[in-house]
Amino acid sequence: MILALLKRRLWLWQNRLIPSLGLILILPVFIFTMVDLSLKNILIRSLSGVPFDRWVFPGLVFIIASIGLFPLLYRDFFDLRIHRKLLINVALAPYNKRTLITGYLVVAGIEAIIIGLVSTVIYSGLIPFPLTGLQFFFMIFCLGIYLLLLGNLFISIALIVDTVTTIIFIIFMVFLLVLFGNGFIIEFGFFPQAIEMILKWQPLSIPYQSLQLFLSNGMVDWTLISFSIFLGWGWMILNSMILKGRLRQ
Amino acid sequence: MEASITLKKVGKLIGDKTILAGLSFGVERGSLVAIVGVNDAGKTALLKLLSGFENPNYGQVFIHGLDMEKRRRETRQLIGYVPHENDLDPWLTLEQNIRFTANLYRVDEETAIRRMAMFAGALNLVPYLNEFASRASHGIQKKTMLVRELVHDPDVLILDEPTGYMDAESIRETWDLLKELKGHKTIIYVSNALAEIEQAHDRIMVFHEGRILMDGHLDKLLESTLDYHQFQIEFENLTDELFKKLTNVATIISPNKMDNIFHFYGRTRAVFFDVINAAADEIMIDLSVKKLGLRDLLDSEFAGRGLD
Repeated sequence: MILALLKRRLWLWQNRLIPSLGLILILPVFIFTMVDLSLKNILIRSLSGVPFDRWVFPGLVFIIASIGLFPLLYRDFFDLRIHRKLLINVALAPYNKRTLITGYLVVAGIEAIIIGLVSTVIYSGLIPFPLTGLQFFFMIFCLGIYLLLLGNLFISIALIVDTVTTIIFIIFMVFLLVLFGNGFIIEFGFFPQAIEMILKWQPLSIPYQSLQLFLSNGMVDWTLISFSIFLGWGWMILNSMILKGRLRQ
Repeated sequence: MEASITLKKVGKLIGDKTILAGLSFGVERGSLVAIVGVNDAGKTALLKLLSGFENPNYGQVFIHGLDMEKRRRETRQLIGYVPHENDLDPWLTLEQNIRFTANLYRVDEETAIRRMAMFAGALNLVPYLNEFASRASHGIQKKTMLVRELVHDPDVLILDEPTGYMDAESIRETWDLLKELKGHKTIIYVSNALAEIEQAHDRIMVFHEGRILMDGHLDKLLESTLDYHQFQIEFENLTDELFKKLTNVATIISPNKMDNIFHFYGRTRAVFFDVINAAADEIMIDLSVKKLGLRDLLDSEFAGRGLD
């Protein structure tokens, strides 16, 4: 299943190579220009005193991967579903719905991580690379968990919503949350205390908090990480039930 | 013969409306079964149940003896379903669409390419394989959908309008292929192309309001109507008075009027002369007589009441 979906993604890349490559290269530069170049003159240093450039580096990679993840899942679970293309045919293949959701999530996650890695290379050329080898691998690990949660959120939205305008509104709100509610570019300490508490406990922010904890103290909070993985797994089961209901199978 | 598909008291509801009402029947392995009926008769709903696309509200569907709900994975491996509307991935080429399905069903690369070449060759699809699905014509898309299902070698093929959108040559190629596959695969299809059904079936199931109204080979279905003929007389001026007069001829059945054409059925050709006698003073422009076929059988009046 995963191999079939991976090959399909490769074909889709191959069929639209120039526009896809163009977007992948332009997007990190655009985000860098809009976020880093302006905010580093306002925030200058993080609350813990790290220069904003260095502090924001992993956050930018997470943002790029989030943006890279969305179209992949939107295409299959919303666009092709409402236009009665492909998804139904895939759902008739001899796999249960959980395998199907897992397959799509894994493939979309791999692609989003690759997009994130490309942005890492680009940012390394623009600002000094702030991570050690171990920190870098831990960042990819946390990114994977984060994408598992975000991917599930995208799938839930794409399956529940049936109209383009509604999905645009919802996704706009999700991206505001991704940008400002996960601590990627604005630390939670800048928010009022009540909001800070809410944002700290919203599931999407947990993997990035774990990463920041590791980057600042070298500590790994396995409780939070396990909670995120468990939540992602449970959400996958929920999505497979939603998919089953939506396809009436 | 062994049963390929078996339905036991299968029903489907949408809201309060009964789409399929307690259907029970079996389909023999390797047979070619046509399903016909008026719109909204439940034909497509039946195909969706057989393909696993939807579940019945009650009853059981068995494929090769396996319960579709309990042995989902095994039964899905056995089925190839071609829906009415194009469901190909628009941004993959036709070949990539076919190979994607082969990958999904874990068909090895070599076998997939061999089967694709064979079936695409039979349907004259090879020159189009590198086209994007979104840019291919509807007929080509439909042929691709058929090859896409054949590439994983299902035992049961379920086809919704298998020749929909196709030109005459493509229709011929598709039926040649399906007739060749018959015997090796069970093929069950829905179509409104009655002339094609008359040529390609082992069995016809006539659906009406979620129930099977008639079931059997065309010859058997027409058995009860073999004596009947359909007549048409075109008058220079078929007035209401004349129409009324002609409908009073005792031997005619189901008289009908369309412009100046008087249309009716009769058990013997002699009925024709009764009408000619009754209309002897009128100017007649054209006459036609033919034996009944599937179209006549499906006429709702016939389906509802029969001829007698």
